[in-house]
Amino acid sequence: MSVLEVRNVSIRYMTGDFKDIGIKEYVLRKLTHNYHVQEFWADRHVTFKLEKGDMLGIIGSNGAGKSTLLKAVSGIMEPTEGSVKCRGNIAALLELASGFDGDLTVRENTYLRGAMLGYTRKYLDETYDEIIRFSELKDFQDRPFKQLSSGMKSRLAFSIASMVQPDILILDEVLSVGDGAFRKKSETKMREIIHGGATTILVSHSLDQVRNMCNKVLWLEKGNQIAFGGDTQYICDQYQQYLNEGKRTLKAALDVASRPKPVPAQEREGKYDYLVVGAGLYGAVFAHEAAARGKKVLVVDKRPHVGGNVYTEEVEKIHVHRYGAHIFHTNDARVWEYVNRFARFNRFTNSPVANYKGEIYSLPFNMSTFNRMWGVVTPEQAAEKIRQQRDAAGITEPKNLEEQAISLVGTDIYEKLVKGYTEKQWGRPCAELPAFIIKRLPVRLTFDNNYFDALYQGVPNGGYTRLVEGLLEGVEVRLGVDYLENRDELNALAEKVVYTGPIDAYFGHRLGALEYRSLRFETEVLDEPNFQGNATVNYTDRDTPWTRIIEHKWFQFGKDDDGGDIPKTVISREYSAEWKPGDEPYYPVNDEKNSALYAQYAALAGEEKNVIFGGRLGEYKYYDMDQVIAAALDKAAEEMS
Amino acid sequence: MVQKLIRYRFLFEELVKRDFKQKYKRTVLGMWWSLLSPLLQLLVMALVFTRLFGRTTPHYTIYLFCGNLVFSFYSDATKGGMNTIMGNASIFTKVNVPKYLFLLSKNVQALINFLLILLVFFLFVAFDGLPFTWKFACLLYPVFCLILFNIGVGMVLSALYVFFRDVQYLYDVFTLLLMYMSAIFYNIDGYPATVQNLFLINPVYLFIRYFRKIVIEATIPSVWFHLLMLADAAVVLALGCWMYKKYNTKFLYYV
Repeated sequence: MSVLEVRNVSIRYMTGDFKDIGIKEYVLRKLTHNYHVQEFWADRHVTFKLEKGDMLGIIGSNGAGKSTLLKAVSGIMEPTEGSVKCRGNIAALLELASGFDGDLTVRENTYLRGAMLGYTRKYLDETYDEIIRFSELKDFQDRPFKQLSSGMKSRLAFSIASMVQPDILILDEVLSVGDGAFRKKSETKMREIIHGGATTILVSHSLDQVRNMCNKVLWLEKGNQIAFGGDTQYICDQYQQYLNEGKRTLKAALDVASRPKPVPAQEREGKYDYLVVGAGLYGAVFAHEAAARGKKVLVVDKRPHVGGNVYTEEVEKIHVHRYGAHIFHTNDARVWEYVNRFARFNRFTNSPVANYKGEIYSLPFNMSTFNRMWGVVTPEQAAEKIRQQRDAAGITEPKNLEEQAISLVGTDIYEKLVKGYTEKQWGRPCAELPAFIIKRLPVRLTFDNNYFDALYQGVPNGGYTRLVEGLLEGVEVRLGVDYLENRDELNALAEKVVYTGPIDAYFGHRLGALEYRSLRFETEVLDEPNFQGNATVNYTDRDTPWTRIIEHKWFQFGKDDDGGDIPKTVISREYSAEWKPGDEPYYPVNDEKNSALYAQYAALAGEEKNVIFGGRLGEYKYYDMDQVIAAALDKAAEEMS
Repeated sequence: MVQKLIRYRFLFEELVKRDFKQKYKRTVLGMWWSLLSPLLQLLVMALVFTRLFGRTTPHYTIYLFCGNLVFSFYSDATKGGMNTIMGNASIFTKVNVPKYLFLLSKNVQALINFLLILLVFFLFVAFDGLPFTWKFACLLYPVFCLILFNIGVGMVLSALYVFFRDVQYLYDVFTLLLMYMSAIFYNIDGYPATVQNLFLINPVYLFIRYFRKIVIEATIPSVWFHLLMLADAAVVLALGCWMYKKYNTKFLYYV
């Protein structure tokens, strides 16, 4: 229910000969029919409603009926027609500085004014010191009020009035009190009261004040209600326009108000050529490409940051890979050059270490691994050892991951370095996983410990966030916007949509939910400079609950952006997590069932006009970073050729 | 109304304080002035009129004092009350407070003043050798009626004053006339009965007469006398309330 309801209020004001005339004059004029009382409507059919916590700004030129309306609301006047209904107590602060008694002291006036405002004596006793402190009149407490300067008077008036704790607070030009410093203080105080839940009505000739503070605006002109609503900026704009045009007539005001609302530029339909949903790599690259081709692009992301899963966050001068380790590697010179336009990549090489129950092995499986495992020294010996183990297993055509792994690296390595880790990673036995996953595990008979077999590799200095920000420079981005929840509204803004979210979610999971693999991270800041001496250490036994620990500082060789040492370190324990709908999806599960379901969704997507589905989630496809960038570049080129 | 009085008690107290301070703050004698003034007036009257009327009227000083006491209370309260709306316009046009508070506050002040003089009056009575009887308790009745009467007249006046500023001068003349017609310094016993009865129309005379009867003659007036006083007070008070109610929201336009 509304706190204040003003319904169709009209107030007839009287003016004319009756003021300050004596009885003789009155009788004479009555007798000669010369007695004129002009009645006019100070307010006509004013209707508005306020809820708890609302802040209403009343605007209008002089004589618009603002103060009269306030008098009706505060009960000083009665509306001639209509009704004012309010719930709760009202404190009206109208023309503050008047109404004091010049002969009484500041202290006495404070009490008298407080009493008028409805405070109790007890409350005043409690707050008196605060009032004096706020008004900065400590040395004047026992001086007669008339000795104060006008600024001091206003300050005192405001300070007393601002102790109110009303349900409805009426402020008539009271915020423009005192000097600059005090004005600032008083505005802060007012905001405090308002934030305390009071419903506030503010009459102000400062449009800026109304724009900044109010959530509703009532525009009165010559007693008539020109506009009322929550679109404060627009109503203020109209009023400004009315003032600018210089014709102070009711008709002019109504004229201005009846003009169709110009659609703000950014909301005009088709303003954007592309609405990109998701500010991850795919979206950012596409947006950059589109903007570079002169298209207008709006990027929205439901997360509060850009970058999607490559987002890095700075903690203790360390760029923390929030959604897991990302090491950029590619063979595609085009992509490598492309990303280096936006960030400087360092020479980081991925050389993870495996920790199997305290035994440390090199990953990928290279001569160091084999030497540690079997004591072999030459590549020939290593190859012989692997061959022996493979032959012993007798696998010719691997049917699952376990067989595939054994056929690649033999049983020892499989048992110690592959089995436990992979099972933790996928949450199911290796014998039930498809063989192709492990094809990606490089095995080499060299001492090269570079995990990736890639021409170009590195991590952007300053983290991936800097890379994505570089891509999105000059592109409008709205974060924290859930496209799926505001679909109609957002669709209306752009000609075309580039959707990089989960494809099944786009269709409301109408064919069923696609499955994902998810990760969980436990990140902590440690008060030591070096926790594990490597960016990633995989825990390959089945019993350690986490799959690996990432020590983020080593992506940048333990240095901050300026090359300085960092006394602390940040580590993230990575866990594989059973994915449930609603969790962050990390990797698509490309098994038969999900692939088939995706195919159905892809067919639906093909029918969606003006929507491009892209990226890891939009295409339900495992993309490395370079691949997703390449895909976005290709798509952009195809789209905008 | 009672509820409102409780709600506005604090404001009322502050208003009374304000009126007091306003009145005495700038004078050397302060509160004593309000005692001194009627006593000086009494002195002058006693000097002038004792030779004229004193011989036929027993206890003439007390007789005179009774008249002065009651009449100054009346004129003090009503003259002060007249300006209570106009004088507080800057307040009630900005804060929604009951307007009668201002009037009541003025009346409280007048009452306190009256009570002070009353004390002196009793000293005079004692000095004059008049006996204090239990009948003195009856004096509470005219005081009570007079308070109501004063409030009523104050309401009417303060309301009228908002509309016609010349009420102030008219009332000054009226008070002067009323004083002469209240038999303050003369005795009406010499007049014919019909003329004597005409005096009963004047409510202020009733209050004065009541005082004299109790203090000087030690007799309690008749029941009719009591009722007449109450009726006067009630009629005026009702008229005042009606005006306040009727014009409550209209005062705003005139100030």
